[in-house]
Amino acid sequence: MAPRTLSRRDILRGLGGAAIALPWLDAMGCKVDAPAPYDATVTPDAIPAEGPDATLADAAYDAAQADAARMRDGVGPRRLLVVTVPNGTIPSQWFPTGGETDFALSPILQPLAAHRNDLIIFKGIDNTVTPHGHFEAMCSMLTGFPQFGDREQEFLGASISLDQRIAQMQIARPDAPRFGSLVLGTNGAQSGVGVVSYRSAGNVVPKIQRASQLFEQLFPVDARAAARRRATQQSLLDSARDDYNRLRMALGAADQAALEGYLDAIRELERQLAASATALTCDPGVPAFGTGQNDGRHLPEITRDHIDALVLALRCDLTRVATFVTRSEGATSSYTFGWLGIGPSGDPYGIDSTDDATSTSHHSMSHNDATPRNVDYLTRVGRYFTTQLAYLIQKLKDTPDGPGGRSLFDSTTILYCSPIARGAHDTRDLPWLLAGSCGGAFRTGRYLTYEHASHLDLLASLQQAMGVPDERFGALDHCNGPLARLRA
Amino acid sequence: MRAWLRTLSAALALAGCVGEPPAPTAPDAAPDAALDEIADAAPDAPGDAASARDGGSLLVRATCAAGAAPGPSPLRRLTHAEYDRTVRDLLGTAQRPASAFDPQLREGTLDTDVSNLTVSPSLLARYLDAADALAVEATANAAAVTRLMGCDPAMGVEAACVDQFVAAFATRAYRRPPSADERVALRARFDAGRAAGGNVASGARAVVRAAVSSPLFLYRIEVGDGRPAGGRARLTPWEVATRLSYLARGTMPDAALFDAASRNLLATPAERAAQVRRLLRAADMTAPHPDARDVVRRFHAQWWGLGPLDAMIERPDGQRDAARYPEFNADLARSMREETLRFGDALVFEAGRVSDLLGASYSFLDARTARLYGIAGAFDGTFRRVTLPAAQRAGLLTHASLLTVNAGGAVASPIKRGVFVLDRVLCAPPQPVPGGVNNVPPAPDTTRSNRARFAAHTQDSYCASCHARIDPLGFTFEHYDAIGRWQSVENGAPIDARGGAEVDGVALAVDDAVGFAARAAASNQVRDCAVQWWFRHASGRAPTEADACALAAMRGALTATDRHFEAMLVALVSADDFVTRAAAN
Repeated sequence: MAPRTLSRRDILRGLGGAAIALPWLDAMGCKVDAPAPYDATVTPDAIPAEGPDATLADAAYDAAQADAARMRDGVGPRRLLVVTVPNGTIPSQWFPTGGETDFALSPILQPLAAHRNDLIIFKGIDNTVTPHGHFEAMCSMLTGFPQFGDREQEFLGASISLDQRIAQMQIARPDAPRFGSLVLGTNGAQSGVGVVSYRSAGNVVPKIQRASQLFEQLFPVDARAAARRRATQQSLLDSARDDYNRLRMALGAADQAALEGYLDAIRELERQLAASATALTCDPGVPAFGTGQNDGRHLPEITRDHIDALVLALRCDLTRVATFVTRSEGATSSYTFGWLGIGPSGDPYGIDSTDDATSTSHHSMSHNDATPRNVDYLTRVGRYFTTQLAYLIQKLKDTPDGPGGRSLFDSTTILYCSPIARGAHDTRDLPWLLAGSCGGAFRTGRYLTYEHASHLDLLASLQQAMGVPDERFGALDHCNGPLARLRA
Repeated sequence: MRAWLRTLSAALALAGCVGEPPAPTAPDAAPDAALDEIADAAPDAPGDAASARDGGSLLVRATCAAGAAPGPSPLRRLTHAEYDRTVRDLLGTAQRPASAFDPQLREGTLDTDVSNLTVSPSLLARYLDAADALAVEATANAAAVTRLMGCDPAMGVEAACVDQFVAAFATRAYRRPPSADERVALRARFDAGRAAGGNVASGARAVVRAAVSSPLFLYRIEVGDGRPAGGRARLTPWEVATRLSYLARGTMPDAALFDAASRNLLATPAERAAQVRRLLRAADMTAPHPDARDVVRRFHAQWWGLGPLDAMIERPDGQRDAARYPEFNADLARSMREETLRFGDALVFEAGRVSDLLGASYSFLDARTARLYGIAGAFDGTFRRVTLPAAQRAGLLTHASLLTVNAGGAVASPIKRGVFVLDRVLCAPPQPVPGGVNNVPPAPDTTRSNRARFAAHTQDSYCASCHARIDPLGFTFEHYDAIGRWQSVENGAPIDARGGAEVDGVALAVDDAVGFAARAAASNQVRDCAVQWWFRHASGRAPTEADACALAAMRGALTATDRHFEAMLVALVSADDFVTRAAAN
C-alpha cells in the first residue's frame, strides 16, 4: 500500500475511541506495515454500565470493529438515513417496468435517473402491522408495532423506532459520534402524524424544524458561550441526577417507570455534552440558511437547508443516523404545492381547506387519486420529492469521505418511504426504495419484487447492516428476519 | 383490538363511502373472503377493548363502592403553561421560557394529559437553559439578590441568611419543605457557586439554577404521608395544596395555600372547598382570577377542539372559499373563539348550569359575531351577553367557532359536526375512519343539497355501520354554513335539517340542532360526559371504573339544586380520592 498523508478528516475520525480509530488511521496512511492490534483494554465490559444492555454493548463493539475493518479499505462507517414522504403515491406512476436489473424508471422515479444503479426499488412490501391509515402507519412504520393509546387522536408509537434503536447502538460504540441520531422535519406536529421516531413507547423524538437551529446545535458559532453552556448544563445534570437518586427511593414502581424517560434524557444529554467537549476538526464553513419562519410556506427552501445541514453533520461525523420527515402525513394541514402550480393561484405556498373532491390539498388529492387532474398533480408532487432525494444523493456523492477517494454516499443507505401506499390509504405495496449500498451491505441497481413481504423484514435488514444483532425487528409475528435477496 | 384491526383490514376491499356505492379497488384483494371476515368479526367486536370504538360509550358506569382503591395517579410533569406561570410566581420573572420549548399538545388531547408530559433530551436541554437564564435574571444585582434571599447576607451572619434562603426557596420551588439532605445539597450548591464566582450572588444563582432544573420542581411529585391504609396512600398537606393550586390556577400554591398546608388544614373537605372557591376568584371574590380563567379557557379550547381556529387566526387566507365567505378573516375567527371562551367563562365563573352547555339561551357577542348571527343592536368590539334567537341558536353547539372548525373551506361538514358531538359531548365516539375508504366528499354541486352528497353513507351497509350514528346527528346542523351563518334555503330548496341521535339510551328524532340541544341539554349523558372531561383535565388521564366515587360526587353536584360547574369542582376536591392515591403507585 502506498503511504499516504493524514487529512483533517482522518484526525476527526480519531475523535472516537483510540482503540477503534487505530486501524482506520492505520489504513488511512499512517505508515504501519501490519494492521495494529485492537487495544485489548477496550472490551465490552469497559463500556459504561449506564449504557444499553450488554448484548447491545457487545454488538456496538462488534459494529465499530466491522466499520474499522471496512475503513481499512477506505470506506467510511456505515450510515443510515430515513426520508419519509407523506400520503403515498400514484402506483402506476411510481413502480418501474421491467425486471430485476433491466427495469425502466417510472415518471415519478425519473428524477433519480442519474442514480439508477444505486437504487433498490421494492414492490410487494407491505406494512402488515397496521394495514391502513395515516396515524396508524406513522406509528407503526418505524416501530413495527400498532399504535399506542386508546383514542384515535392519541395515537403514539408503542415501541422504540428503528432509527433510535440503531442510534442506541451508535452511542454505545467506543467511537460513538456526538449524536446517536438526528431527527429533522420541515414543520408540523411533533407527534402523531408528524413524527416517526420514538425513544420508547409514547416517547416522541421531537423534530428539529429549522436548519439554522440544527446548524447552531451542530456547530456552535460562539465557542465561549458554548463552553459556558456546556459547563452549566453539566453541573445542572449532576444536581438533577442527585435529586433523582434521592427521590427514587421514595417512589413506587409506577412513578419510577414514569421517570425513566427523564433519566434517559439526563443520560443522553450528558453523553452529548461529553462528546461535544471535543473540538471539531472539520470546518463546516458558514452556510447561508434561510431565516424565514418555518410555517410551511417555505418548504422548498427549508428542505434544501435541512439536506445541506444534514450532509455537513455527516461530513463532520457528528452522527451516522438521521431521519427526515419531509412533511406531516394526512389531513392535519391542508397544504398544497403552489410552487408546482398546484393550489390557490397567486399564492406559491397556499393552503386549500376545501375538503371535497375539488380540493388541491395533498391529502384530499391523495384520496381522489383516480381523476386525471389528480394523477397529474400527484405525479408532479411525487417528482418533487424524488428530486429532493436526488439532490441529497448527489450531495453525498459530491462529499469526499476519507482519503481513499470515496464519498459519503458509498457508506450510506437512504430508506425513502411513505407510511401509506396510495389513495386508498392502505399500506400494501408500499412505494419504498433504498438508495445506496450502506458500505457494500446491499446490492443496488435492482427492482426487487416480493410476494407480500413484511416491511419489518426490510427494517430487520437495515438494522442488521447497521450492526444491531437482532434477527427480527418489531412485532415478532410479523417479521421473518432480514429480507431475502437484498444483500450484496 | 385484534378484532377491530381485522374488521378494518377487511375494509381494504371496500372504498368510496361517499357519493357512489363502494367498489373493489385492490385488484388482488379477495372481496368474498374479506366480506366473510367482516361477518366473522362483527359478533366479537363489542365487549373487548375495542368496544368503545364501535360506537360504544366511553362513559364510566361503575357504581361507587366504599373502600375501593382510587384510580392511578400518574406522575405529572408541569405542562408548558404551568411551567411559565410557576416560574413567574416563584421568581417574579416576566420571562416565558416555555415559548421556546418543543410544543407537546397533540391534536385532540388535553395538554394536561400525562401522555403529553414526556421529557426528551432536547426538552431537558431547554429546561437547563431556562433555569440558567432565570437564575441569572434573579441575581442580576444586589437589590435582586436581597429580594430573592429574603435577607441581606452582608447585614449579619451570612451562613444564617443562606440557610434561611435555601430552606425558604426550596419550600416554594419544591412546593414542600425540603428534607435535610435536600437542604444540604442546595447549600453545597450555594457554597460551590459562591466559591467559583466570589460573591453571594453567584451562590444564590447556583441555588436557583439547581432548584429550577430539579425533577422536584419539574414534576408534581406525590409520595404520600408514608402510612398507607386500605390500598390508599394519604397525600401530605403540601401535595394536596399542590393539587388544588394546579387544578384551579395552573401554578404553584400561593402564600395562603402554603399557610393552610403548613397548618394541616386541607384535610377537611370544607377547607378544600373554601380554598378552591377562593382560588377561582380574584381578591374581590367576584371576578375570576386571571390564572383560573386562563386554565379554564385552555381546557375548554382543547375539550371543544378549537385548535384549528388558532391556525385560521394565524393564517386566514385559503381557510375559507373567498367567493362564498368574503367576510371571513382573522378578526372574525378571533371573535368566534372569544365568544366560545367567554361562554365557557360564564359556565364556570358565573354560576353556569350543566344544562346551559347545550341549552343556554344566551351567548356573548361583539359586533362581528352579532352581524354574523344576524342580530341587530348596538355592538362594538367588546363582548356582551345577549339572548339568542331561540329558533336559530342554543348553547355551545351553534357557536360559529365550532361550526367553522367542523366544516370544510367551501361547505359545511355534517360528518365532522356529527363526530364532534358524539365524541366531545356524548362521549360515544365512532370508530376511526377505516382504511380503504375514500372519505373525501364529492364536490358540492348546485343541483342538490349538501345532505344528498352523503347518501351513500346510509345506502351502503358497511358505511352505515358508523354513519348511521354520525350523519343523522350531523344533518341537524345543515342550517349553518361553513362559517356558522344561519341559512334557511340551499340551492333554492328549503333546508332539511331533520335528524337525531341516541341520548340516554333513547332515540331522539329532532327537526334541527336547536331541537337536539333542547332535548339533550338536561340529559344524564351530556352531564356525565362533561364530568368525565373535567375529571380528565384534573387527573391527567381518562377516568376508569376505579374513579366511580369521584365521578359520582361530581355528577351529584351537577344534579343538585344549584347544578353549577363550580359546585362540581368543589365536589371533586372534596372527595377522598382528591387527597389520596393508590398505595401501589
